[in-house]
Order: sequence, then structure tokens, then C-alpha cells
Amino acid sequence: MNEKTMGVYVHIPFCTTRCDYCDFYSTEGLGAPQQGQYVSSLLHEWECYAACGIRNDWRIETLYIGGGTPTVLVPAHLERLLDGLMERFETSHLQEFTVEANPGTLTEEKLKILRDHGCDRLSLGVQSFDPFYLKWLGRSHDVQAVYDSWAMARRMGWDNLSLDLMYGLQDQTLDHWRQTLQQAIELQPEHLSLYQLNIEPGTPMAERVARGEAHTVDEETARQQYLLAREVLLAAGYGHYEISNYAKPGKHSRHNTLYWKNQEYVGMGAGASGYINRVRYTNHKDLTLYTRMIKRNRVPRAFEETIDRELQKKETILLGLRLTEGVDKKAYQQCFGRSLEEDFGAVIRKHEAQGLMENREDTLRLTLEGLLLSNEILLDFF
Amino acid sequence: MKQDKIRNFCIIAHIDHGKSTLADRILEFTGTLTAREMTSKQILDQMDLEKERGITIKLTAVRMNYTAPDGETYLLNLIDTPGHVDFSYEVSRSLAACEGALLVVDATQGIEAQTLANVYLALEHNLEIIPVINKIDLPSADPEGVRKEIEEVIGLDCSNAILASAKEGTGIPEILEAVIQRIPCPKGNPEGPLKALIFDSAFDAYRGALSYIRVVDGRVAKGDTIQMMSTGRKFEVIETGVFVPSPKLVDSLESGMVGYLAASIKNVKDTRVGDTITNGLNPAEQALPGYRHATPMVYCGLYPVETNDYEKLRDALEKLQLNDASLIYEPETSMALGFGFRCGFLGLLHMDIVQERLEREYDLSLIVTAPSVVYKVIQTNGEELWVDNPVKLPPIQKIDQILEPYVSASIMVPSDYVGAVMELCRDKRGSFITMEYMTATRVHLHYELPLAEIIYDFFDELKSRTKGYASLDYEIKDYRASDLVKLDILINGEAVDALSIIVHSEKAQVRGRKLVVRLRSLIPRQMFEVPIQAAIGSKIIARESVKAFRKNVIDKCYGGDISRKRKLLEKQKEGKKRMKQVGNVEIPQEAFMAVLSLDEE
Repeated sequence: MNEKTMGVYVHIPFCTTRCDYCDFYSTEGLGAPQQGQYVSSLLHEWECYAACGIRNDWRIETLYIGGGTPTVLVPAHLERLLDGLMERFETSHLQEFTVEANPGTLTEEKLKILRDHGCDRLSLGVQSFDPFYLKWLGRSHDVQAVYDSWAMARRMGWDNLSLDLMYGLQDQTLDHWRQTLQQAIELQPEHLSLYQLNIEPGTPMAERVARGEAHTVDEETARQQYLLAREVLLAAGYGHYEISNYAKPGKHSRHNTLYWKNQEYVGMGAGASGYINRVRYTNHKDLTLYTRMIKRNRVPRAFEETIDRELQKKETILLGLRLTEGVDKKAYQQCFGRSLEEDFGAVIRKHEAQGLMENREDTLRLTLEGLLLSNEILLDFF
Repeated sequence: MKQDKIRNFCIIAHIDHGKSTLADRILEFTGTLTAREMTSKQILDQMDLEKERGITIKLTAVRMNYTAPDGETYLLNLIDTPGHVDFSYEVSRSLAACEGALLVVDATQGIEAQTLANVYLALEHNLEIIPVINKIDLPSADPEGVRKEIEEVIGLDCSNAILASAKEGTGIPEILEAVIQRIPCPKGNPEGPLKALIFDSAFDAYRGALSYIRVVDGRVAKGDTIQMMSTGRKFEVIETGVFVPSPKLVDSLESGMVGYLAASIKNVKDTRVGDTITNGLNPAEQALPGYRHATPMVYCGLYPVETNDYEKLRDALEKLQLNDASLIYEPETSMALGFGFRCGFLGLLHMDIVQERLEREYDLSLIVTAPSVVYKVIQTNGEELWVDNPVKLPPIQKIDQILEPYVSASIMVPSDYVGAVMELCRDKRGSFITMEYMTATRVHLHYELPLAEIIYDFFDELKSRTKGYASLDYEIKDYRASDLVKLDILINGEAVDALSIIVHSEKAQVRGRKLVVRLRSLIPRQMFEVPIQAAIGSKIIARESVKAFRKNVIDKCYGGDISRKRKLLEKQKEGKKRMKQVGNVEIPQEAFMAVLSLDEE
């Protein structure tokens, strides 16, 4: 039987408190018993894939535990989860094992558990080094917690740390943003993700904006902040490898890169999404429903969609153009039996002429201006 | 049935004052429909009662048999009337088919502006008017106040006004008794040559165009040869019938009766509202008075959003015209919008109705250009030219003068608002003719106004400046020379023909300014800055620009986001598909109608 290269995403939908801007699925303040129940369900979900004939011979190369906040799990459950996963996976091919963590939820005990189970990469949600903005965003930790967690992780041997930052915050100036970036660089992270604050409907932040109590920056400022970050990080030796992601050489996120190369992955946990055998799916968000379905040995899916060739092409482009190296033209030709030019020649020429796109010998990529306007460009491929 | 046992009447009411409910109660009381047959929908509002037979009948006249308390049986015909100034001619024909009218006024609201014009129209036709004060069951009802108001405003004797609640069914016997006692019976000559008034028409897939008629003199029956008096065209009657309310065949329609006839008429154009039908072998000498050929007064371009829907649009217009004799259209081409049609309508409401029917019944997505009146252009070489599309206006140096249609407008308004109305009419280039006090508090103003101003936003303005109390009626008067210019709109440096308008030179600056501001808000941002300019000839009079996108990126896209983001893009793409590509710029449909709603910012 052919082995299939896969990534695995495990979702932990718990947080200590929910941030004002977040529309990701999580539940606050659940106690240890619920955590225990959830970990059992997660491990059981893996069995369901075999039971339903979805799982064949997977060669798992990346594992990513995200949330929510995976590190809110109490040590006992964290340990049981990782033990369980390691028992079930063939881990010999694992190239990267990332866990998302929030400053303030990390303890030496938890870090030790993570390290002992092979976690070699941590992604820390820092967002800002300014107490005002941490509070404004509704983050549960303070600035000191960032430094403490960071030092602890380094001390315990992590040499691959990523941190998230946000820009486009209310009245945030270019200088302030430059300072945030400098503070981040001083920590010498191997990887950075930078996101413009986006007001998602239904979040407390959206309500604050609607009431006129909060606002974000205008588009021109956001553009300048994006460009500034790129300039500062390139100068500090980071590579800009994806629209919002920067890394030291060789330290890009392998797991996330799998998404952008439109490869398949398993999504496990309540509200998690996956892509297996050309089917994209999302699991039930509701914990009770999720748990109940797994108890009946059923794959806990709330949504499924088969991706046909045409959709697959669009997704390949939508995702591939996020990478600064662009869409791999050979891989495209191999996958679809047609060249990118045959499928989208006119669109490519149009954007090339406007300096938004570069059609190189083996990749099709966006220029910097193209990255900034990528949403508009993508529409032409749809 | 003898004529003295026939009563033909209609109901005049403001929208929401209970016309439909009252009609239902009358049908129910006379046993025309049992309560069980009355569906939740109100009967007079239903358009396709006969769905199971695959035909569509416009229900505009219902025949009822009513046995009065004195034991006599009467034949009552209730004729429906449309209620808008676009169709005032149709209203006048419906009224001409009656001898009386119920004037229904809401006891909590009093007389509303729109009712007045129809009451006056009814009085002009010498109809007997029976005031009915409706909704007396409501706690806020003030029947005495309303009674006084009707007397003061209309000058109608209200001592015997009927108090009713259509909802609860009170007052219905009194209404029917008043119809019998107070409305005169028809007084035509049963033995004379046939004279029947066409007050409405409809198209039926099986029987062709149906004529809804009121027989004045003589009789008509199956097999008769009839003749349309305006055109002289002859047809053989294949069916005569009445609505009870479902269609029911009758042997003949006699003097005084209301019903329909089918005569293998292929097109509703051959059965024009207002025309007189006579007997082909024994024609009447004179037609009934009042026939007028309805001429379209408002023109606009209709274009399919999807260019390959052109044929579909043509077929749809063809079919609609079978049912609507006042709709006219001819092909035209726009640089910006491609192939489409120039269509003529009686007025703005008529235009809206046609547009809506095309979109709903024929599943078309349309771009409608700003409505225009028909201008008469005298060229320097002396030739005359009719221009129904601003694009067709000759170059300025070839124009000697431009004439535009004027209307004679009659506005009735409470005296408190006279100042506001006069100011509005001045703004709209109107000339004052007369003003009369109808009562101490009610004024009748006469103005002459350019039709172009009326179709622009006059009616909306009038309503808002008088809190809805003013009523407007108008008729075309003549053509007058005006200082008019063509205002062009340039988007990204290119003139967009479908956005050109003809305006008075003094208003060009303001209109141009408003138009570019409005377009700026309607045209979505693109990857480059898009200048929007208003120009007269080569002179730019206003300029705005749609700023370019500076950052338009999906920031986060990981495993859980892919389906969602892809769908977001698909949805945005759908939106874009509905836009028109003009040069490099995508322009949404609404932009082409922007000129209409300049004051709604």
C-alpha cells in the first residue's frame, strides 16, 4: 500500500479567557473534568478514521496542536493527550511538532511534558509588548509573562520559537509598530507571524467598534505598517516566505506550508477542519455533539465538501500565491495535466503587465505590490 | 335582466384604508363567495384565480347577485380601479364604466391626499358618491371628525355617510342598500346599435386578448361581428362572459352590463382601453367620449446584465407587450452597455412595474438607465428631431433650440404647506398659474412644470415637504423651448454614454456635482484610482475619484480557513459578475440609476 504524506492538526478549544477580537472556536473556563472527557474523545476520534476506512497508511510528517490555547490543559490531561497521540502515530517520520501557547499558561511542568513528547516548536501568541494594547485586545496576560515564558522555553531547550504580533491597532503609529518589531527581534525568535487586526462580525471587538468605543487604522496606514514590518524583518535576517509569515533560514513552518501547497491533512477535535481524500470537512464545534458522535464511532463531521478538479485548481492558486515563492508550475502541470498558462494565461499576462505578478520559469508568484492586492488578483482566477 | 335592476360601482380609497377587505365583505355578504371560499388572500387582489385551467385573468370586475330586503334581486358589478397618476387615464375609463362609487375613508386617518384626485375624477364623470367611514371599530376612530372633513374638503354631503368596519363586517347591509337606493341604474338604449366601453384588457394564452367592457347601448353575443371604433378593425366574438368571480360564460352582454369578450384578438394593442366597441354590421355613428391614445412619456434604456440575455429580453418584452399596450420598445446600442432596448412608459411607476415583471417573471437581470422625457430639437438647418435618449442629441453647434414637454399640474394641499409647495415648484422651474381655496384649510394650486422635473424627483419631494398630504395630478400641455444642455459622465477618462443626461443649464453644475459624488460611493474601489468627471461638451464641471486599493489581503489562511476564504472569494466574484465592465472599470448596476436618487445621500 502506498504511503501518503500527511500533516495532523489537533484542536484544543479551551482558553482561560476569550480575546475580544477572536472568532475562533473556544470555550472559556471549563474545568479539568471536561478537559479529560475531551482528551478521551480526541484520542477516540483517531480510531474512528480507521473504523470508517478513511485512514490508510499515513506518513505523518507534521503535527500541530492549536487552539484555543492547548497549554490551558492541566498537566495530567496534557500528558495523557500526548501519550495517546504518540502511541497512535507512527512518529518516526515526524519532522515538526508545533504547539501553540499563550504566555501566562506555560509552566515548567507543562513545558517538560511537551519536550519529553517531542514537541520541537512553540508558537507564542504575544500580539503586543504594550500593556495598553494587551488590555485593549482583551488578552489575559501581561508583558512580563511574555518574557518569562520565552526565557523558560529557551532554558528548556527550544531552538525553534515563533511569535505572533498584531498591527493596525487603534491609533497605532508607525513608530510604535517599529518599536514592537524591535522588541520582538530582541527575543531572537526563529519565526514571526504578523496579522493586521481584523474586525470579525459577532466578536466583542466588533460590538465595541459598532458602539464607537474602538476603531482600527485606515487602509493606507495598514499598508505602511505591512511594508515597514517587511523592511525591518528583512534587515534583521528574516525571510518573508508567506503573506503574513517570516522566518530565519530553514525555520519556516513546515506544517503551515503544507496548507499553502494544498496538501492533505487530518483535522482532529471539535471545530477542526481537515482535508482527506479530496474531501474538505469541518468537525462539529459543539462539544456535546462532537463527543456523542465519537462515542458512536462516527466521524464527527458537521460539514463536508468534495473538491473537484476545478476547485482544486482554484485552491492551489489561492493558497500557492500566498507563498512568496509562488505556485510550483511543475507540480501544477503534474497534478492537472495542463500548464498554469493554458488555464490562466490571460489573467497572468494582465497582472504581469501591471507589475503585480511574476511568471518565472518554474513558479508563478506575486510581487510585493501583488501581495498587498492579492485579494483582488485572486478574484480574476475565480 | 332589466337595466333598472343593475348597479355598477367602484371603490375609491387610499391604500390601507380597507378597500380590499371591504370588497371581500361585500362578496361574502352577497353570497358571491362563501366565507370558506375566501382564502386568506383578498379576492380583488388576486391575479391568477384560474391557475388550474392554465389561464390568467385580471380580476377587475366582479358580478354579484343581491337580493335586497324588499325581495327584489339586483345585479351588482364591482369594478376595480388602479390608483396612480401614471394610470390616471385607466382610472378615468374604469370610472366611466360606473354610475357610482363608494368613497372609503379610514376613521382614524381621515382623507388622504391620493384619494382626492380620484374623487374629483369621479365627480367629473357625474358618479354618485357614497361616503363610507371605515374602521370605526378602532379605539382611535373619529367618525364625526372625518365626516366633517369630507364635507369641508370635498364639499360632499355626509349626513348619510355610512359607518362601517369591514374587518368586523358592520355596515355592509347599509352599504349595499345605499348602492341600490342611491346609485342610479344604467340608462343606455337597449335597442340601439352596440356601444361598449373598453375599460381594461388582458391577454390570455388560449383566447387571445380579452376586452373588459361596459355595454352602454345595445347588446353583444357570441358570433357577432364587432368593430373597434378607433381603428375600424373587425373581429368575430367567440365568447362573452362575466366574473363571479371566476369567469363564467353568458349568452350575451346587454345594455348596462359589465363583463368580458374574447374575439380571437391576437394583440392587446387591438383592444385599447378607452376605445368603443360597436357592431360591425350595424355600427354606431359616434364613439363614446374620452378615447385617448396613451403615449409613452418616459423613456429609458433596458439592458441585460449578461450580454447573451439579449434575445431573452427581446422575447420577454414581446410577451409583456401582448399584455400591456402602452409599453413600447425598440433596439438600441450603448457603447457602455452593449445591446439593449429603448423603452417608453406612461410614467415612472409603469417603468418600475415593467422592470420588476421582466426581472421576476422572466428571470432577467437588468440595467436600467436614467429615465428621460422626449425632447424636440430644432436643428440649425431647420430640421426637427425627436430625442428620447440623451446620446442622440446632435452636437451643440447643430442645435438651434431644444424644446421639452411641459405639464399642467394640479396640486391639492392643506394651506399650511402652500409655501413649501410653491418653493418646490419654483425650484423645479414651474410657472404659477392659479391658486384657489377649496375650504379654509385646503388649497388647490395650478402650475406648469417641465415633465423632466416631475419624473426626476418631484413627487418624492412633494410628499416629503408636505408630510404626504399633497396630491398631484398632471397632464401633458405642450412643448416649450428651454436652455438645456447635455451632461456627460467620464469614468477613468472615458465618456459613459449610458450615464449622459439632458439638464437645464442652470442646474447642470449642481446635478453634475451630485452625480459624481454619488457615483464615487457606488463604484467599488479598483486596483487603480478611478477619476469620475462630469462634463458639458469639453468643459469639466465636477470631479471626484474612487481611491485605489492600498491593501486588500486575506491575512490569515490556515487549514481551518480554506473553505471559508474560497467561498468568500466566490461570493465576491459573483458580485463582480453583475457589474458592467466599462474600459478597465467595473461599474455596478445601481450606478446607471444613480441620477435618479441624487438626494438620497
